[in-house]
Amino acid sequence: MSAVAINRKRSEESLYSNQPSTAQFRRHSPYFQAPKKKRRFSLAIMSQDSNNKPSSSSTSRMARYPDAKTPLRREIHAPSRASLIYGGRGSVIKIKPNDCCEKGKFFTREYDNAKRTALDACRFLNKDKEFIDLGDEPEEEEEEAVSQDSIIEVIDCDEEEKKNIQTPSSSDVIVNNFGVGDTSRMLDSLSLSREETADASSLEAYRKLMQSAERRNSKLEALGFEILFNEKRLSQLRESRPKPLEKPLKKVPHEPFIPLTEEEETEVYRAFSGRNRKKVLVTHESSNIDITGEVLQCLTPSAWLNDEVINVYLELLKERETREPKNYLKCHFFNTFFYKKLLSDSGYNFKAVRRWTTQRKLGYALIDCDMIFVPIHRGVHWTLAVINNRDRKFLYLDSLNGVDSKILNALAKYLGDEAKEKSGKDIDVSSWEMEFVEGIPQQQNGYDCGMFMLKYIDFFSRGLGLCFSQEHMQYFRLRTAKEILKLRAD
Amino acid sequence: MSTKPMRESGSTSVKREEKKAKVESSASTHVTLRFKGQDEEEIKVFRMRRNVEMRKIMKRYNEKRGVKWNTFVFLLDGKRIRESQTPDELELMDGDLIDAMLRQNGGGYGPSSITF
Repeated sequence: MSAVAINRKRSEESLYSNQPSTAQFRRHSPYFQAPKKKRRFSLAIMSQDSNNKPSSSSTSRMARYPDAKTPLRREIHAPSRASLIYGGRGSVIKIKPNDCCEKGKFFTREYDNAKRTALDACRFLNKDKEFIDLGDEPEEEEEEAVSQDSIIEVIDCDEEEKKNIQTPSSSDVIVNNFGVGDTSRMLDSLSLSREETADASSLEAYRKLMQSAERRNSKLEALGFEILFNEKRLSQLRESRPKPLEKPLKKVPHEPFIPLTEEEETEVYRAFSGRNRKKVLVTHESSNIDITGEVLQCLTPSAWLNDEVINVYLELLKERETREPKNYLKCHFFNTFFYKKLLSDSGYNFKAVRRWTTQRKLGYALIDCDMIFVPIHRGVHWTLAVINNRDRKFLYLDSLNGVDSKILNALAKYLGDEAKEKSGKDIDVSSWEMEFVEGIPQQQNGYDCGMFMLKYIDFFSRGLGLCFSQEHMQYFRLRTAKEILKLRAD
Repeated sequence: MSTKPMRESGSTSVKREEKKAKVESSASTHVTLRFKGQDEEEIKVFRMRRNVEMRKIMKRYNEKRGVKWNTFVFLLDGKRIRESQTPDELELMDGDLIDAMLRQNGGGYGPSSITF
């Protein structure tokens, strides 16, 4: 438990080994008790030894070691039972001398009683009943040991056993000198005081303790209320926090995932069949695009998408928006060749595309659109760039998670030039954000990028988040084929 | 078309009239179109009759570029040109620029698994 105990043990052992005579003596010693605590032995032995002027070297040595004087004045740095009982501030354990010699036992008992009553009264101070219960036993031993110490002290001075009876008072004085300051000390002094003098001083100390504890109690209550209040406030604030704007829909939308009817599926598979290769299946008049079987076959699983299918689908999306403007954002869909003309090998060239977006041609001004979609063809890969007019952002979406700032820079420049030429407006594109969108659905193979790009466009134009993934691609291919054959996107 | 009417007393008006007639007839029957290939600075100039289908000129261009038919997609101000259309239909003017673009295919990476 403590260094003190170890020391005693060591000393005790050495004594045992060296002194058979002392052992004998021990048996008859009044201090000899059932060997509960070895400490008692050693102390008993030591006291006797010191009494009898030990002849051997070790015992004399032991007597010289002044360890008995102030063992209990040391600070306890770990919680020990005794300190826990007394409010656990790790404060010094006081010497508890109050009994000794034959009367020791009697005094111990009395002391115990007094202590118990005091502790019971102070129970509310120490919430944990456990400590109080445990307290009794160790207290006993501590105090026994201490008593021996005090005895030793006295003996050293007086060298007379009878004077032991005096020790309680002297030690009492000592104790009282210690016991000042904080509540634990007060409690100490309370418990340590003799029974005769205990009542008055104990009552007062007890009252003081009560008061300080009560003061603390009200504070604790107030704190408790405060905590509850703040917790409630926090939960309320959390609830009232505005939801993020990115996801306006509560759950996965139904419309973009409507499965094909059996009839539609058959039609699509018929269109995919080999005998239709050269046959023009549909013609999109306004864009002059003919869709032959061969061209449509790019929508079969694992085939790469070509520009005709993509461009015709984008035309259908535009027609869809014109049909039901309320359900879709105001969008402009550039075809796949636009970016190629804007930024060719010879660099940025606004003139090459300035006639693509005349008011006469479009029926609206480009910069009045919420979103402008620019499909990007990069050799063998399709990606998407978006000019988000509504949120003042340039977005780049790649189903293989690539980045390319050249593209967004070119588009920013284009927007500025376009706004100036067509509408005479000056847009400060440098203040716009450029985002390489992350966390978007990614392709898990080497052939679906075109489909991913189309679906990014489709979902964005509906004002939806990108709530689809690779597993939907097969369905999307069929659906796109069906919509092209019907020349109607839904 | 590049010649300007000369200021000569007497014959000017006649010449101008002739010139005008010539220009008009040229203008009415033929049109000069410029073709710009993708990633190419060079512009190829073609002159064709207005009422002839574009197919002819498109073929000519492919030949000149040394590629097979249907390699290029022809755009006028971003809009695709059908081979069956004529300059009149498209309201082409002299000097209009037509973009010859390569067809585009894409999937992500790796060779296409389906070949025709």
